[in-house]
Amino acid sequence: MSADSVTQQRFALPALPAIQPPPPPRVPVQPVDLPGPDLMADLVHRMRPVCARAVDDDEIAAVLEANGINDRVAWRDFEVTSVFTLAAAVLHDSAADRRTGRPGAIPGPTTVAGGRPPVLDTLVRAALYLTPTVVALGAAGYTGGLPTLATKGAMVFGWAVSQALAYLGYCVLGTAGRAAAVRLLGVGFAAVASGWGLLLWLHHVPWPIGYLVGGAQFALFAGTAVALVTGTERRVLRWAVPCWLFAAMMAGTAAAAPGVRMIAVAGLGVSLAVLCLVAYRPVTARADVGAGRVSGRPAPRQVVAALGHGVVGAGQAVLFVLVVLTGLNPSRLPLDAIPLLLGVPVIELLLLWHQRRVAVGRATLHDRPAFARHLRRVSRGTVGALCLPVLIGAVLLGATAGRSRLATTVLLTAVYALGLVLATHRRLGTAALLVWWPAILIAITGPARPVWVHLGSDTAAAVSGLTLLAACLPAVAAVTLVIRDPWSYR
Amino acid sequence: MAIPIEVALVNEGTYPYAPGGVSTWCEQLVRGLAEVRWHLVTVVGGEPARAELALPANVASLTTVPVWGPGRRPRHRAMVAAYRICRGMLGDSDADRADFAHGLRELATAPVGRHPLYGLPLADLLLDAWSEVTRRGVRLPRLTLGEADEAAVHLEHATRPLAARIPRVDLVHATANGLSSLIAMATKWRTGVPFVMTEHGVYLRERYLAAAEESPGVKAALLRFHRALVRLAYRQADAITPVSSFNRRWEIRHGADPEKVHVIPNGVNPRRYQPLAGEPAVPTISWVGRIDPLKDLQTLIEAVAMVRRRVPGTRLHLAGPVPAGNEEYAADCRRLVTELRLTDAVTFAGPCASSRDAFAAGHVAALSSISEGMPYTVVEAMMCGRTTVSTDVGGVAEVVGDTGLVVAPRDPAALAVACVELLRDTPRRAELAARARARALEHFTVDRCVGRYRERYLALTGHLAPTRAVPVATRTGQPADVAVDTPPLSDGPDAPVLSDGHDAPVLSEGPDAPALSGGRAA
Repeated sequence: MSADSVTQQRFALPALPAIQPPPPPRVPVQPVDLPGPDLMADLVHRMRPVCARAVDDDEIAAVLEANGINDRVAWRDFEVTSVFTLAAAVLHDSAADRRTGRPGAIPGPTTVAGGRPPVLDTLVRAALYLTPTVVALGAAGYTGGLPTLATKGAMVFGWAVSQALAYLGYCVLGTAGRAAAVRLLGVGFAAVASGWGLLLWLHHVPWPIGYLVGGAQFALFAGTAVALVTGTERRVLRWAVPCWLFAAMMAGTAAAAPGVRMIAVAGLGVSLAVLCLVAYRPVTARADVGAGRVSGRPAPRQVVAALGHGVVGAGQAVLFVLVVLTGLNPSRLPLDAIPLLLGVPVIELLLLWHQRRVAVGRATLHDRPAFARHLRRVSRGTVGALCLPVLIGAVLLGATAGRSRLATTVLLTAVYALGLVLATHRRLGTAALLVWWPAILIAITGPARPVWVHLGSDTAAAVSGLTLLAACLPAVAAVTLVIRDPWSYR
Repeated sequence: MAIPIEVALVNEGTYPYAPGGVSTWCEQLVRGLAEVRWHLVTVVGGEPARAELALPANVASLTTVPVWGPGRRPRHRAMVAAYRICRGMLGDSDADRADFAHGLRELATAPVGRHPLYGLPLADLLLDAWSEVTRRGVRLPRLTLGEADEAAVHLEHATRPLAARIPRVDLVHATANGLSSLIAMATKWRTGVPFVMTEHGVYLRERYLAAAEESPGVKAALLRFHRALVRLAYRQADAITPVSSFNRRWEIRHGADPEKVHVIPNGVNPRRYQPLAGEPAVPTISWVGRIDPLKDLQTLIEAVAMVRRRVPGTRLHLAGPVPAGNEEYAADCRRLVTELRLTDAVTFAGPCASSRDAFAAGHVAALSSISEGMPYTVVEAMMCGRTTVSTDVGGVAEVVGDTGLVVAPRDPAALAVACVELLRDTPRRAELAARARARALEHFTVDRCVGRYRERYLALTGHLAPTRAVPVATRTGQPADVAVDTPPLSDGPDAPVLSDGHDAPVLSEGPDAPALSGGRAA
């Protein structure tokens, strides 16, 4: 009868190598004159790997006992009064052996994962992020004339909600397990989508197309969020492929016969439903059981932090609408958005690289000044990389008259990157400021500008670009301070 | 005259949430001491889903103390106390021990409900303490910053039980050292309530084994913390009641006062485990327990394969649940059965309502564990009149005495030889079985076990004279401390002879003590 501590659930019992020779010390045990020194040498040899890592002789005693050497065996075979005495002798002899350089299986130093980020995983995530865009482009020919609430409104709200719920999902995943996290996301998205449906009904949005468009967006956000939280990106992405195909079919058959169009729409709907079912399958799995689980209810401060993530997400989405979608021809591939599509995976890779370098530093360094130096070196590289889109955007803004949209998208990529760093390091207030104040300024000078102010589309893009550039400069300074702060990594 | 008494029974992740040996013991105690008003306190990882076991009417409250989950920041940052704890646990001197105790006590007397080390720069404090202690000459592995972070997380969570709110009681009974005793100590420091500690397995020993795969720095930090905590709890406990003398060795080695240590072995209900009349037609070895790596079923399965070469047709009957998290291990066992072509010879019977049914399916009962405290299954088999083949771990040899065979753990050949010996020799098997039943009736009944705890409770709450333990010498001259109760509770030392000729340092038993409130255990 024994119990694991609730603070250390893992119980990996070290087993000694095969006993040579195997003495079967059955009880009734008769005292037998065994060659003590040889047995001792054999035991010391077998215990060397354990001794090399042992904290003290009690650890050796515990391992000896777990391998059947108790006080009786210690007395009979090694002529010492207890297993504790034997343990001390074994530890002493093993240390002496090591000093004299006798061969033995000594474990090497713990290796630390290198700094190479998993490129494929990052690309898979980027492809998942891309799915809503692909579907939106495919469905563009079908959504014309719908109220903003059902299209861009649902996108902004869904983006914000997915950021908030994903954060809560990660919190619950860490404490209550996967099923609880998936359940939270499922219930959260269902509630939010229902609320949004009510809003559409109150605003007399056309039934059913408006509801389907809004619902499809929520389904995409829900599928992506749960894939990220549960680490099932690859599986969910596989099931997103039919969505891509039906979206392409919709784009290609926008002017086709109603029957063909109906097939494409139904196909997209079914594939979206299947995607959600696959993504949310863990919720139907057996819940994590036992006394070692926390309830799936997040703490109040986690809810507050989730709201912060939601505010940041909403700001990002509003910027996306203002900078990328406004003035876009929905039936054409938005070439100006390519920097953003390329930038997202690159940002992820950069942050992964940074986190891994920092983790390697913490795993290998023993003193804080050395770690501070290491952190400064890594941070220099990261900040340098983060400055690149800012510089490129600034140069494009000044040099390419008439192509300000491209510069603006590059700068938007920079804003996203800086915002992501700040949010990752729990500076949600700064991140929200970074995305919201340019969003408000761009809105004022763009879609929400007074009717008596006349701006050409490129001039509006240039103003947006300048606004984003102005947001980036202090953000770079803030990010530099944040990523050089050792406390950011606790 | 009824003596009202309220006892907080503190356990770590077991009663009433998870079945197993400790839960069985807790249930016996709670139901057996029906006159006590019990307040159950369970240290859990997080909020448990629901109680697995039904609670009797004398349970007044059930409190859970989660150590994981969201933290609650303390009102005052106890930086000095935190540093004292770090420094004290790493050092070896008396001053270090005092430092650790002082720091922990300071945290314990802070307002309850807040996690005392939450939000503190514990990793930095640990690194500073590490440097200071190694400069003084204490040998420790190098601690990386990452290891300090990881260790700090564990330490912060491990001290959360200090924040536990438990009802006002007359006595705290911790069912283990470590976190359970941390609550008992904190209560004692706050209110002066005495505490009893029972150890089923040796907490520190299990921590050593559990931490084996940790990185050196994390391992050293965690084990130093647990060692310091365990030692402090041994000193603070008003009585220590291990279930076997095996545990007692570790307790005394780590500072327990021998006079406070009283071995109280587990017991079972003889009415529930009536002697079995016959034996099955086919030679069968039965095993009862949870499917768990600690039970080392692979050794038993390998042994059965060897037994079948000498006693053809031998079967193995395995009865017990597969706890959550052990599915992979169970699959490994089934795979081994297939590899050894034992599919037709081994039965995985799953959970059984009564272990007696499982023992009835076999000629001998086997236990192949690599770690045990004092296993109920062995006592139950003995009570049913089945002889046992067990591994020499924990208090097993003390329980079995000369009524069964005990072999080294992880040795399938030895296990097989012992099984063959008993399967082939029917008269000897019958003789050992009869002796096993007699021994179990004499030493391991639940009434005797519960009665001993009743005595302890009365003594610690001032209703009965305390008892003492004195060291005695065994016949071989090796020292072995034997707990002896003072008259009139004691009927003298009771030392059944172990199979190897040593005196088993098993405690004495006394007559039933007066009931706490006039009632008897049901």
